[in-house]
Amino acid sequence: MATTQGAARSETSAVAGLAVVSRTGRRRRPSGEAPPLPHPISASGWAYLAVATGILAAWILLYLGFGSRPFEALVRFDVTILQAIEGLRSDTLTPIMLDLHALGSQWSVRGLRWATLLALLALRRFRHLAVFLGVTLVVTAVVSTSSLIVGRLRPLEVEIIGGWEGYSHPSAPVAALGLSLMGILYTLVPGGVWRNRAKWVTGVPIVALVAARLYLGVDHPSDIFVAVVIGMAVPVVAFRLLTPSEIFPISYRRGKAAHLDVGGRRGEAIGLALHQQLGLTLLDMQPVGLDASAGSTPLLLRVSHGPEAVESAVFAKLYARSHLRSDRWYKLGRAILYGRLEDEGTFSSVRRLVEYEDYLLRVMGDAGLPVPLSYGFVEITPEREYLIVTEFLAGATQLDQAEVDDGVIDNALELVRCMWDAGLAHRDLKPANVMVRDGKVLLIDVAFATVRPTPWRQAVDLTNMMLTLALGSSAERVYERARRVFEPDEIAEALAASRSVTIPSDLRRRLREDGRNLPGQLRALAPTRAPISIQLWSIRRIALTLAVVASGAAAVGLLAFNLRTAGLL
Amino acid sequence: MPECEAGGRLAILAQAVPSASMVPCVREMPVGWSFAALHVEAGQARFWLDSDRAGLRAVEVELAPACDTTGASSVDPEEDGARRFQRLLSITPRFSGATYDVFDGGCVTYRYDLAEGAHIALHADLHDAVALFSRQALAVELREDLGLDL
Repeated sequence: MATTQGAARSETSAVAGLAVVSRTGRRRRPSGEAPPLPHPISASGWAYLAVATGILAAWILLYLGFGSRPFEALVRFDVTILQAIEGLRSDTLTPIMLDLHALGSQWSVRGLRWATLLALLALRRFRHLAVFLGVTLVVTAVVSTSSLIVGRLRPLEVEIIGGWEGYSHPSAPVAALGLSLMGILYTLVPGGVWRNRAKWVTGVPIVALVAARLYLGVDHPSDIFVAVVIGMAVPVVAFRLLTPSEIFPISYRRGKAAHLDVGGRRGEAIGLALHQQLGLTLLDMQPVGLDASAGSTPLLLRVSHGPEAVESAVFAKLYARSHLRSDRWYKLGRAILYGRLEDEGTFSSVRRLVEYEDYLLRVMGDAGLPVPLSYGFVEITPEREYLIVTEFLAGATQLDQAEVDDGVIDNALELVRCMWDAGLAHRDLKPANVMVRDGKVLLIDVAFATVRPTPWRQAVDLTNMMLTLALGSSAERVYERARRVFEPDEIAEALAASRSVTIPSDLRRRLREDGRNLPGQLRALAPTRAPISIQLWSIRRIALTLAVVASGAAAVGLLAFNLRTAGLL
Repeated sequence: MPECEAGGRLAILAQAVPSASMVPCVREMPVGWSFAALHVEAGQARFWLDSDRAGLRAVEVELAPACDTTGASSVDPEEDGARRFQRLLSITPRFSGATYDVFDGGCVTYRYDLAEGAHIALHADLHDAVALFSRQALAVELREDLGLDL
């Protein structure tokens, strides 16, 4: 049984006859209950927090002038261990340990960090690169500051037989090597089995360096323990928080980063969320149309619903915070480069993004446009991940795979006229977003659509629809049919508003492959009109440009400074 | 800053040069002077002082197991148990050179490059600011504090 709204919409929907799944058995999540995909702090996370708090408290005590008296037992413990290790020294072992000690040298660490940095640049993993540089800077600063605050002596009552530099606590070489290896692990090694194997490999040089420094008597065991916490645990936490594998996976296979892995815990969470929030039982879930989608993870779901467990197919799109970030950068770049292309603001949260798409589907449906019926969206993780669920257009094919006859052309152009009249713009018209079923045209993917767009944006919609249609027929035929729905001046305005950058990249690629210069042919048929400039200057654009230029200059200066501070120069 | 008081911050200089019977320390910073940085490693320790008149790192103080005083003039020492030498490299346009305090197992070198005119006062400031601290006194303090020998 459909909801009231769903039932009402199904009767008036332009997509007549499509199945509307029922929603029953929904369950409200009680206060305090975890969401379907919680992100709690793990036991190891709590343990790390406890250790870090203890270290911080010790530093504060030392800084406040309590001296080493409260730590006498620790000092004695350290010396006892070192003296025991000193008893193991031999003429054979000492040269080996002196060689292993070089693992913590500035040149080893600098080499590892530069190699990581260059690899990340070559792989264009700028987010990982920024986090790596940031973590390197922070950890280096924490190590050097705490070293000055504590001002601990090198081990006493043990003969120091290796080189050392600066105060003993925390062990700077161990922290530096640990940080560099963790950087490689979390920015270059794919998560899962490969990373788990690599952890053992990275453990070898760390253990070797620790053994060497204890053997040579240059560090106390507690200096090394704290260095491991700072140098290894801090980067792990930072990379997990700022470049989580599920959102920024390390992969050497081609694919779009926006697509999330929907297996494992996330897959289970999607099933739970659909059941609790929409009353749908998930039977199967398959990614679909990944090539045409860069802003979300599209999915085809097979669900059952109602007391009789009727099976249906529904379409869904999974949105995460990474999609929000790419949307923001994309819009900022376009606003600076062209000024006019993006006449709407960015979304403040992923919840707003998915709410907007849901809203646009309903607004377009209300305007009589043939868009998929929205069943609403479900919350996977609050403010992090949402899944919008819509009707699956069974039997529909993409326009480029359908016969584009006069009826289809007329229908498609009437939809643009309908959007003009309703004060809407789709903003992403291309073959992948225009479907055909039984000779009727359907529009999908309205996430970029706008209510009350600029006239220029509406004109661009017309051009993109004409080009999409011309790919499957001819410029002459599309122009001739367009004159039945639009005035020649309107068509001329649309063509004058269009530029290469106003055409979606997928459509642009297809036009290039087609090779007929369809934009030129359409312009030749329409009345002559001077191109409409897409460069629109405003205070906002000037301010944005200046801010970006100033930030860029500051970033370059800071980068040079940071590279030096972080031991890379 | 390695102040002239017993504790880990000064004792690490003694660890850098285990043979040295004295270590340099900052007694009292004259007006216009500030501590710049400390670098300590196995075999040597150095620190620098900034001056609002003589500039950044106008003075470098280095502790080493030994130093070459060949050609330097002997002058009156300020500390018991140490001999002082001075080598001037230039008097004008800048007053630059080095002073050496030589003692059992070690040597402290003070290198300076001061503007002519104020150099007499600045040179006096330097030797007021930096003094030598006995290793034995450090060892006694550490023994009382931690029960461990330096």
